[in-house]
Amino acid sequence: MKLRKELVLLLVLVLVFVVMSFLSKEFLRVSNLLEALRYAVEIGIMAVPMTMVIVTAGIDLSVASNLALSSILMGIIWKYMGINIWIAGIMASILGAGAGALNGILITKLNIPPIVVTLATMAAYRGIATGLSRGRGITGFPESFQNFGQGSLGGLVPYSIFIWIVIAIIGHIILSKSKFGRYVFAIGHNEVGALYSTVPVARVKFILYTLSGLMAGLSGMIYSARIGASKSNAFMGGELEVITAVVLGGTSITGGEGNILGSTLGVLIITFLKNGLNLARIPHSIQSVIVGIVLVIAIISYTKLGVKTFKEGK
Amino acid sequence: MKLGREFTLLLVLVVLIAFVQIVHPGFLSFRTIHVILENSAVMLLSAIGTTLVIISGQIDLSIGSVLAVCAITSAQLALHNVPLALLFLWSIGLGAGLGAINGLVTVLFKVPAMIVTLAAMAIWRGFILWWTGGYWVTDLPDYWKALGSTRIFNFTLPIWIAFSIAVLMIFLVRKIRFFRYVYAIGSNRKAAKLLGISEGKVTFLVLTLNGALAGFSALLSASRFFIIPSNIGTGLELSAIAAVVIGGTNIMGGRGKIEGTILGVLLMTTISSSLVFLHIESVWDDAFKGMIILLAIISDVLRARRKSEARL
Amino acid sequence: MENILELFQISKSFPGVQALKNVDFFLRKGEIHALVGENGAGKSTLVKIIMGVHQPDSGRIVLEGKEIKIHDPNHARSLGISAIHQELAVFPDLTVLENLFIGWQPGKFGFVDWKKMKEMAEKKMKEVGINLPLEEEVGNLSTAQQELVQILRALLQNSRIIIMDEPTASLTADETKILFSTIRRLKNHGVSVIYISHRLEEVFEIADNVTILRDGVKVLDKAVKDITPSELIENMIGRKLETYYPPKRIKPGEVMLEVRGISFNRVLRNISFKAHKGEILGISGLLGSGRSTLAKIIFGILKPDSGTIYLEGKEVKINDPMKASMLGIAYIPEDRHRQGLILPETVRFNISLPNLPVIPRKVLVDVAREKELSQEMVQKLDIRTPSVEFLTMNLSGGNQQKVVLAKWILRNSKVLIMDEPTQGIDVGAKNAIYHFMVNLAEQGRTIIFISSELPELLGMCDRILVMRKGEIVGEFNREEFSEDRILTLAAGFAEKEAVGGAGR
Repeated sequence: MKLRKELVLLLVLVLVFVVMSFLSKEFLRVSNLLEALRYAVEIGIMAVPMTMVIVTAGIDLSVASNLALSSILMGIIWKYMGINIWIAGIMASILGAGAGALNGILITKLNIPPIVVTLATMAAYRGIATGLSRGRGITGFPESFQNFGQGSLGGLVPYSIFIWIVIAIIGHIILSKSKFGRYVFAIGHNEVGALYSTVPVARVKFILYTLSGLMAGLSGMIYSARIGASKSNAFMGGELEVITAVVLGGTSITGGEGNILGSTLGVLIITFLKNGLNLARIPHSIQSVIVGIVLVIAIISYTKLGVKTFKEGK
Repeated sequence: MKLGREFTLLLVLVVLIAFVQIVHPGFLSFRTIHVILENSAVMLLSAIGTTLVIISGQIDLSIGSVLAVCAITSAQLALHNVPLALLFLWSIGLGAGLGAINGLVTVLFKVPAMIVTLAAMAIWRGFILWWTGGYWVTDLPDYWKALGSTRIFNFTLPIWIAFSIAVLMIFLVRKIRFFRYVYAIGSNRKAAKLLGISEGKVTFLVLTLNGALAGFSALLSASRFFIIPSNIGTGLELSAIAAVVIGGTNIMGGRGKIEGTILGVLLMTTISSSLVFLHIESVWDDAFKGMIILLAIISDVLRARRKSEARL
Repeated sequence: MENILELFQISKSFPGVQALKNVDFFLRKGEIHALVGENGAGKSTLVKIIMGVHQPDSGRIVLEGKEIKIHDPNHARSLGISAIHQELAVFPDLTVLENLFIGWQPGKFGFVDWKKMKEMAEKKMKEVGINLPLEEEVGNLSTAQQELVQILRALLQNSRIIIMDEPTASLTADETKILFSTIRRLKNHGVSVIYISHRLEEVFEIADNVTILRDGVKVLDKAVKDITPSELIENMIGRKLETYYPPKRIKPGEVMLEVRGISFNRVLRNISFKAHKGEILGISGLLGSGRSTLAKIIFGILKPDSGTIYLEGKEVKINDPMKASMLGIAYIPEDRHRQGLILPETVRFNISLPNLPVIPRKVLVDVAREKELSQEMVQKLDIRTPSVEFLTMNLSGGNQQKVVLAKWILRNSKVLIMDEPTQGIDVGAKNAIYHFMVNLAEQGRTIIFISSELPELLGMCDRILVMRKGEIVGEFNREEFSEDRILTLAAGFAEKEAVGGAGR
């Protein structure tokens, strides 16, 4: 069945819900579940382009650093250039896209493997963020901005979730139903073959890395609204969280396979897992262990599911 | 040119040192050199292990966490006055064991090592944080510090140990059949299979070795301090990969030299020290490192354009 | 001279196809024995049995008088049987010296004895007259040298039988000469060579004897000096040239494509030619990669250093395959698996991929229409697949090639460059491809047919261009077709040496 992996993921999510509800009666409260999602928004948003990047057999290790840099840039533009915070946020997102585009150029024009380029920019962007902010955070954002990041619609549904939902839906449509999405898959399976079938390989890859940067920038804005501050050490290790969610969601690190729905389920599984464990007062360290184990079990099962004859299954 | 990469690195290193010395005389002091060597020694063995893993065509993201587990458990054993020799055995053995687990999962389930070690990184880091409860290991006995502070000809022990082993590795990698197989599977998997080389065995062993070297590094690293922070080793894997890439090893596998990695490590630690001397705030450290890595790989690419067209 | 290897009544079948039927094969010591046959004739299977990759269903193998079973390639190697492949069995990042010994390095306790290796290598190189730079990375060597590395490795392992499968496909004429003189020297050392090639000119130049397979059966086994090119070809295809290929009912019309002064690197030099509507233009020659390079330039994969291309009289700049396909140019590539298809995807995916810009609906793909169109193609081209949702990697070679063709037929391409289109596919599918080619030409399209198989060029084309060393050295119209002349021109012999059986 085409949806085999996603069905398994859904089952896992249900399982998580069941187990977590036993661990704490707070878990199943709607208010808790929705609040938990607030913390997942940035990862969820970045997981969308990351999925596509990984489907092309590439990777973007610079997203968290990009997020931090965009967040700092937004703070600086707002504070020291006196520009409206919302506009500053958008400008910073565009700068984030630019950072992603730099990745894109190095990868497509110079043919440097993505892991190497984004490893370097991961360090560079984080470093620049730290340097510019002198290690100090920027705070004092206007109320409306903070309200966006910390408040909820009807007191229940966090505002930022809507952005995530929209982006995820658009991403899903693009990847699984559009011509561009076909190109992404073709490149992931066989870049050379794709080229010979007229796929504009370089252009597609460039767009993907730029989008990844854009989403990182946008997430930076949402992050700062949520925390109420711009910090250069925002989301340390975040890139690996995003990648974990995407891989958990069934996207193959070697390319050619994956979808947004799966990645989103991956984000949800990790989010609710952590949330439930938090409520059960299980320390962060153990949470980390559990997430790691879940990831291992997932990838082992994925390889067991193996190659099918028809796209939908046997 | 046969001298190629290593020569360029050496040149850059020399130029950098000269530059800083001119701007800030006093840079080229024994103290500075010692700091550089010491920082290098700590990273060196892990970087060498990483080199081998990358040459074999894989990536290991777990060494930072493995190092943490080995360092902290060893330190805790030291609190019970376990002799140094046994501590070494413990740390290396544990590291090897954790590396072997990575190897087993990678080979048996045919999953890319990058993902397996991504999970392992989270698991071991989480475990050790839970194990220590976030507390740092303190009040370490004198003999522990002795490892890190004993000097021979004025250089501390870890420097001697790390660099000797590194030099030994240069020799061993050349002479031992196993290491030639590592290059082979990284260079052409299919051909290796045709010639009867077992990719699974080699991959398993190289990941185990990487773990063992991380365990070794753990002691060399931790022995410099009186207290061991619970987050020791964070970010090690990426620094190691950076040093390896700067050193000229190809991330796709099949080529790379230990000599290059040694110079890569030295270059990175020298840059860190240089930044201090040039009064560039430490906040800019990572930015510089990132840009250096970028420059290194860009220059690599510009020199090796020949193959890309043939691949189409 | 006694036989070193004898195969008696070897049969082998795979699901759906009888690859070999009661084939006898005899190889003498120090003999250069060519194995020829069309694609799908069974050469590859026979050789894989000798190499231990496959086990015969029935029949006997006798090696140096003793009956044996060859269990696997390692076993074959230990028996003294080696094969050289073009790129497959070398390690580009390792040195020549290391490549020679990898997997069996001399040395004790897991240590490698470099000194001994160097001695052994130098000794052997002197013995055989091959000269290779031991400290050079194999990746920096030319394909020809890489093959020499493999030959040397086989010799160092004391191989008595070396199998060479299309060894000259990527070699220049000069490199081929060197390879041939090396092969002759092997012969003098008592090593036997099984030489598989489509290039009949080479068979006549280098081989002592030739065995011809057709449809899995051995049809002939004769000394090369006793056979003529036409006899060879007719035995390969089983009938006279004229009756095997579908006739084309229209004559070439006006110029569709013109190429002027194309040069590239050192591979192509000042290539100029015209191709007409309704024409099947063949391109023959030893320089495999030269011809494909030309195709890649016309298709936009590579950019020429100089030269212009005209389509229907207008100059065009072809920057990438997308532009090429918009202009109506199609390329059916040589490497079907890597360049021609996205194997892990469905038939539908593959057929529609280059057609996405023209299947209606702008952003989202119209899957229903896509299905419709691909099903149409499957029917039209008689592609044997359970459905369009079947993964192409599970199709047979012939059907895979039809999928590749379907992509471009759907695109309504005006110029189709087909690079070795019948390579590695069975006889039935080949025939189908020939029919499609004629159909397409009769619709007024232009077919540029690149092939190493002379029979099919002679049978199908209106004109044949012969390329050598990156230049076009000859052009033959259908009336002027003569196997001998084309063979000699391609191989670079002087005209006067041309006689049935080409000179030596």
